[in-house]
Amino acid sequence: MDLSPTADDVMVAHTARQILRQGEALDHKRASARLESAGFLQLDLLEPAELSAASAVAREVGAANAPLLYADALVRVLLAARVKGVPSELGLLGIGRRTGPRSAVVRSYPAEICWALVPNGPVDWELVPITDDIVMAQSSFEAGIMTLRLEWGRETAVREVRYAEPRVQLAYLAVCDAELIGAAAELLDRTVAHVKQRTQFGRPVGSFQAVRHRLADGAVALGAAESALLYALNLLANGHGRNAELWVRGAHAYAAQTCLDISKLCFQMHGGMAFTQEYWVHRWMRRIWQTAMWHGSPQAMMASVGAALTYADALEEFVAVGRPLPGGSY
Amino acid sequence: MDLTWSNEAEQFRVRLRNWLDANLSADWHARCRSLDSYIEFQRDWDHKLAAAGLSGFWWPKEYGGSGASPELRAVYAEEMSRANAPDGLTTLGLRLLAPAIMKFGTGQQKAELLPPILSAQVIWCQGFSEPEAGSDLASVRTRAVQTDGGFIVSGSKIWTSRAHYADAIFLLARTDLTAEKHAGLTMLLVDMHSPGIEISPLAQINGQSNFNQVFFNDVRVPKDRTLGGIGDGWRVALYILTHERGATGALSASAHMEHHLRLFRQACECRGASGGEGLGRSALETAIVRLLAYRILAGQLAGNDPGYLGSAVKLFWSESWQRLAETALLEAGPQAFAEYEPGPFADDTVARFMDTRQRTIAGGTSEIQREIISQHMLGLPRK
Repeated sequence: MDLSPTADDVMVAHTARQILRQGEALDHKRASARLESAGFLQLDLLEPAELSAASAVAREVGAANAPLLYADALVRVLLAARVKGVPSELGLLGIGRRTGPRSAVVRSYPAEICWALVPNGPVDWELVPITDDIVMAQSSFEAGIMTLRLEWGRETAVREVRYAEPRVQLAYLAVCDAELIGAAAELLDRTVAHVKQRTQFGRPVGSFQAVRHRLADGAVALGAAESALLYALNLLANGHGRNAELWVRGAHAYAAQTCLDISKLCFQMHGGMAFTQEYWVHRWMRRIWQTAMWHGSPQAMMASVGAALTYADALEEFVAVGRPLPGGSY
Repeated sequence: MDLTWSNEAEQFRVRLRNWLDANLSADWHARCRSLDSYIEFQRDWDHKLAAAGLSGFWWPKEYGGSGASPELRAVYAEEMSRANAPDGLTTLGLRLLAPAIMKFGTGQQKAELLPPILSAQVIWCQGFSEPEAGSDLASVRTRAVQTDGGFIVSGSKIWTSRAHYADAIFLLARTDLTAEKHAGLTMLLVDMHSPGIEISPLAQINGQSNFNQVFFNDVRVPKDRTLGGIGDGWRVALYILTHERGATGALSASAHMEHHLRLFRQACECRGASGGEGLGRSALETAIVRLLAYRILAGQLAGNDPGYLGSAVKLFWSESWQRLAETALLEAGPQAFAEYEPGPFADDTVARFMDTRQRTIAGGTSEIQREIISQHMLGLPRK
């Protein structure tokens, strides 16, 4: 029995954090259209087992409040980096386009952020940001299929992404969850730090129970949401059908509602400053609300899960978490 | 994520289920029409468990257990709850007092007190809370005045489960009025048949009467009946309390929640209604309780104490269980109250709603758990 993240996922998350810091220094963060970004995740091309790594990265992206498209690029680049030195794999992973015998361009859309993946030694890859390469990028969305077109120099890359496929949608939903949870966790951490140093009535506001207890509730709910997500990812990676789908949808509805609540709670804890444009809290709040409602309201999604669980066998399978024997009870 | 149990645990689960099938009839409630018959049934049950070597099987070998891992103990808690087996009368002695005797007891106390707990000959109850000392446990006022022969105890304890048939009580009492509030306490092991003890049962809203108020009117306690030293009571009490919050509590809760969940689903189906958001959320939270219990257990198997995670999980399961019972009641509508028949074994929507109200109070209130979480998990200051 082991519920800790794999060493690989920890390493991938760490790398993502480094790159995000680099990105911050380069001022590459720019808000961008969410729907278009969906196509760039190319989760239909991911191996199911790679989903947990993708989620680990998305969590970091949420925590950094970086644009989602940034995440798309990172997910793909990092997964490619894990393949280590097998350029032919890049195509399989859906990464942009090879630009030379051992290099590839990984991009995001619009083209503010662009990374070149170049070999560094026989097995390692290195990410090099390039900013002036891509001359045109387009996308179109028709009948559930997104077509992306990318041109730079004399090169052209066109990809189709079957976003409408259920498995892709589920994978995307799970990655969205991770991003939400990352954003809420960072917001909660920053808020805890704030209430420790902000004083009123001669003591830190974080010493008042009215504040302490609300933050404790937020932390517990977030841990619960993260446990649900990890289990849903685990099911999805193992290819369980209906149950995996219900878990991904249920975990998403739960995480979305939890993160909405946390964003409101944290906003409140910062007092009047939170309502000013210059202060940072509203940016996290907007990010969380936008991501949380991307797939409809959490209530509606949970209601659809509940409707499916009205059938006995679906419910039994749903609650049989890690249980070796059928679990009927008194 | 690896949620598989060891082979040993799975085999134990199969053996335990077979044993439960053979030894516990599904309708055992029906045979317990009065409190007396219920107590007799549980007394027999304790002896059955002891005879089968299941009573305290997780105790270290040197004290008569089999030294089983936390994993087997978790399986045991889960399967007992799944079968809705009675808790037994000796549970407080087995789970709470015995580990403290093993840690703080003298050689003579270990030899004298542990075997009768294991063989279900002596029933212990816990004397911690008082009318004026609930969450603020260290404020106990029950006095133990030292005399030549030992102590004279006066005061009262409340919420004392099983006091009306217990043989002995582990009692947190104040031995020093001048010392700082945590320092003046001593843990006493008191014979419940001593002169001067009065027991007054409390009727509960769920139709049961497990709790009592116990009055001590100049009760004499021999000198050698302190557990730990004089003034060490708080340390011993904290050690006992840490045994209340672990994976076993969460797994038991999840097994009971699953039972409620199934009844909730059936009720939806009977009405021809979809479960909707309420059923979805309840199912998810029930399953999350299991996942959180696994997190504690995985930590325990790696040698870590639950710590604040135990508080976080207790807060989560107790509040989730209440939400589940509330949602099911709201879905059932007002006629549920018309159908409600209070009684010790009532298991309808209203009875379950009533029963769950205690979950956020017993074993450390939700407010106390939030204090622990905000202090130890979030590092927030208390002043």
